[in-house]
Amino acid sequence: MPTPSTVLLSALLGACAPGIERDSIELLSPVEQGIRTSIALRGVRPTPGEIQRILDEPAALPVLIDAWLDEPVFGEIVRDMHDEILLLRGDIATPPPAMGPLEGLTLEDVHRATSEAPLRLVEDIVVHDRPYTEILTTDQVMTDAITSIAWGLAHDPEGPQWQRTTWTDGRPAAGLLSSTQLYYRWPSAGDNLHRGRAAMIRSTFLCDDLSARDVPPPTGGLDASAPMSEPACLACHYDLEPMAAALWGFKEYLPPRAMRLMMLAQCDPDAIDPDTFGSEPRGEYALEDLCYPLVAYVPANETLWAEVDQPPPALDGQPVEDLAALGQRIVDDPRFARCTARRFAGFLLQQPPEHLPDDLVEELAASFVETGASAKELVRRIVLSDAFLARSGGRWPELAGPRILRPEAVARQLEALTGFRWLARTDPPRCGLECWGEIDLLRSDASGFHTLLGGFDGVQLPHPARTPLPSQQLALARLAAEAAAHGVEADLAEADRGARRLLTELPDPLDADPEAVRAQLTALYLRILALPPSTQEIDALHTLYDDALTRHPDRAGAWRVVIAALLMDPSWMVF
Amino acid sequence: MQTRRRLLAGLGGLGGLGALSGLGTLGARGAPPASDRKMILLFAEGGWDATYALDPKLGVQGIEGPEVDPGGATERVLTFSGIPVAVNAEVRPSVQRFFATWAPHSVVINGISMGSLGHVSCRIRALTGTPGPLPGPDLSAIVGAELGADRPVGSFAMTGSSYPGPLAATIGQMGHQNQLTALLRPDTPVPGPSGRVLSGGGLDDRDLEAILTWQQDRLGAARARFGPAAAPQLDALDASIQGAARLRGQADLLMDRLPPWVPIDLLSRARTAVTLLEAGSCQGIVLDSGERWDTHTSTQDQSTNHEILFSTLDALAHALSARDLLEQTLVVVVSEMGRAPVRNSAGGKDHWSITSALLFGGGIRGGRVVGATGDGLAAEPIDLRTGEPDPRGSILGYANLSAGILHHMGIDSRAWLPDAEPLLAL
Repeated sequence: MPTPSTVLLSALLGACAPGIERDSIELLSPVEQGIRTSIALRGVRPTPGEIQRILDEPAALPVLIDAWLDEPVFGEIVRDMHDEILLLRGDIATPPPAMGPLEGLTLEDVHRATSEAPLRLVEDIVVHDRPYTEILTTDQVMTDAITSIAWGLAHDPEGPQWQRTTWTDGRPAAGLLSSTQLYYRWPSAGDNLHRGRAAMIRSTFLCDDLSARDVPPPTGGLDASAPMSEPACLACHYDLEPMAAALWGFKEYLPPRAMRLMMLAQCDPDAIDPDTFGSEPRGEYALEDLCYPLVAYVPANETLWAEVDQPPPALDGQPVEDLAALGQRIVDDPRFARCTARRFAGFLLQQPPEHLPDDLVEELAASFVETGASAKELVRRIVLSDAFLARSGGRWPELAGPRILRPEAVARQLEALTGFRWLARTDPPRCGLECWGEIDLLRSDASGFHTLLGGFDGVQLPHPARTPLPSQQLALARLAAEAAAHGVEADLAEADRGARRLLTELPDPLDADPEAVRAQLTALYLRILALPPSTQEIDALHTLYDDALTRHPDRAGAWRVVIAALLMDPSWMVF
Repeated sequence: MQTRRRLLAGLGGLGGLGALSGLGTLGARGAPPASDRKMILLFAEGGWDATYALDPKLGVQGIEGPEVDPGGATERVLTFSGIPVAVNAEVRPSVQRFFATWAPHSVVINGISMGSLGHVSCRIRALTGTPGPLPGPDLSAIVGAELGADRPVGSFAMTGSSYPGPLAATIGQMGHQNQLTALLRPDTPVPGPSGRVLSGGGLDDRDLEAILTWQQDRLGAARARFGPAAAPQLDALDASIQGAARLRGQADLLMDRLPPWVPIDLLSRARTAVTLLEAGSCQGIVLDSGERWDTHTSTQDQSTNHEILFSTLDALAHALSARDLLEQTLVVVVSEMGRAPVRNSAGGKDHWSITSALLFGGGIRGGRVVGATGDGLAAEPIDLRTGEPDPRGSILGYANLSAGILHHMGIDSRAWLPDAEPLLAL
């Protein structure tokens, strides 16, 4: 298990001491370090109490980080991070239908459950500090009430929402590589023969992105041997075909349209025209497989690679017995540790992983291996590194500078501050089986504001925006207004000051006492921005309040304006 | 400091963005070159089969084109002003109709090597001329930034997405269902939790003005706190705030034509594109054909999709012509890849790294085909200066085409695609 974090921390504390310039590095102030770290690990800013602790104890940050890493929300961050890697959550692709035994649910329910399941597996491994290599080797799968029905997994209705279980259909134990959802999201169409899936696995876990290489144009014609005989194809396909050979137990695709047709026909294959489905996957296959519980894996198909003249399973020339052995071979490959370090650092530093300096990646990868593949230790090391905490300069000056809030952090902060979640129904009338139901507009790409806020949809946009977008500002402006209204309305209805979220300094939320108003402005500034304000800053905020009061004499409107302004403050958007 | 009215209504153009560090080439050269040229970049996502129109191979051995589909007996190859086109009066009449009228304004580019076979990687290549994995700005964004400095918005992405790269502040990204237009006015009713309608939290234009003024003033505080090293990020943030203000200024034009969460067909989007160009709202627009071109299991949708696409292109060309915009507006119609020469075991066609493109309008010398494919749908080498087949020439790559398009638009392609020799034959 991991080396105790204290060893690592003692080596790093010198670099983190506030106000110290070393090798021309200027670190963020202690409070700013706390803000950046808290948002990276929890998606929210520190509480006023945590800010006070940082101010009182300059060495408090590492202790707070340990506590933050144990909070449940860190698990959500781990899922966010791995969605940026696996691209599962985007809702512009069609999810499995909400039909048959899932009738009564919405597409949103089914999509969120199925797309989240692989991410839950990674979360479970990371938050329990099991070796991160288990993401490709464990026999475990996470399931909830919906995925247990969709995939035929055991689930205790009396237990927690998400539970550990195992596949029972004979598929090899290979963690994420055994995931039905992974292959639903990444189908193998036509005569692709699982090559696209192999390319995804290679890119995701070994950071060997074949698609970034320009392949020479084909010299003409096409036959079955082309990929391994055409010089243009050979370079990539030598890497892909043997990896793809380990995936043949999985169906090449699970078409949602065919699933819907079969479920409409009550799963009776004689009730429908087989031609409706287009082509059938190779190997052992029955139309009933498309009904819940889906039959996504067929052990008898594992050796189909031989029937389609493909090479046997291997990774870079080293034969592997099956998918489980492929997963083990990948995590044993030194590129896996480097790739893991690159992806974690890229996410936490909000930099393209491909652009991170090799020396930083190498250092992080070495520590990752030394700690027994502890992802928690890797995260701790990254957020305590000069690269993460620099205001300017240092070994990697290109990594310094403020970060912009991700859409997920916007959503978390707004909910934490005001209780507002922008849920809405945007389905057209008579949507029938296509109804998504109520969705979270900050997390939806197809109907919501996720990509407008700089997020990625995983299909057309594979990466988050690295530069602020005008649409981000428009979405934030509207969100700030709605969230402020929600928060003020809720606090107005709450007589107990201690139970309010924002208007905590006013005995009556509409109190006009000047001292109470100023105290409230100060508290709002500290609560929303997590920065101790100066007198001048509170004066400026007071001017904004007074100006708003001329338009909103009921005072509630003035508080809405003040809160919305703080939520639009550049110091809230960047950290 | 911005005036309040400018912040809210976005009266300014993009002129001030030269200072934005991300726009290095613009800033370095000062004001972009004067030009009236505009661009519509229409993307057919999924990979079209060029043998259904632009690169006819009827009867060529080893290539299974549309003649294999039901109704294939009526497939023909007709030549319009020197451009041979695969037509079928029954299933794709609009292809014939388009070329009958617009071939003199059109150039077909065949034999483009996309250098990849994956949708995302090819999409990035097709729209940006770069291989990724991190996409540079798409061609429309470049046109917007270089030629549209006096426009409120450089380029509108009327699809779900675009690749703005460092030009993000100049982009109007509409969202997959025009969600952007729900955000252009502070009190537009929008759906909320449990069926409620949200109307801006009771804040009006004057409140928004006050908030945006606070935001602008507070940028200074952020600059002071983060120091000079943060200038690029905070300049970009400032630019995005200004960009949002300019987008608000387009509310009247956009909200009726592209209401949020209402399905809008390609033809309506194309007409809106013309309106936006005519109004001077932008210099470039990205459209998506909206059809699924990734036909792995059946090829017949290629005919259907071509019919829908060319029907819209015909209407688009007429609309541009009627407003005297056709000669100014280059319409670039691309797909990220082609389809394989023969059908797969499922009866569809898999990916092929060679594809075609159609360009019309924009002052292009029409009635020509540039580039070629051979019998096996392999790209033939060409002379990049003339576009003529030349055994000693080069295979036309996606970067050559993109650089050539920028060159045709009067933009120094080396500033954006420094390693790409431009196709000068446009």
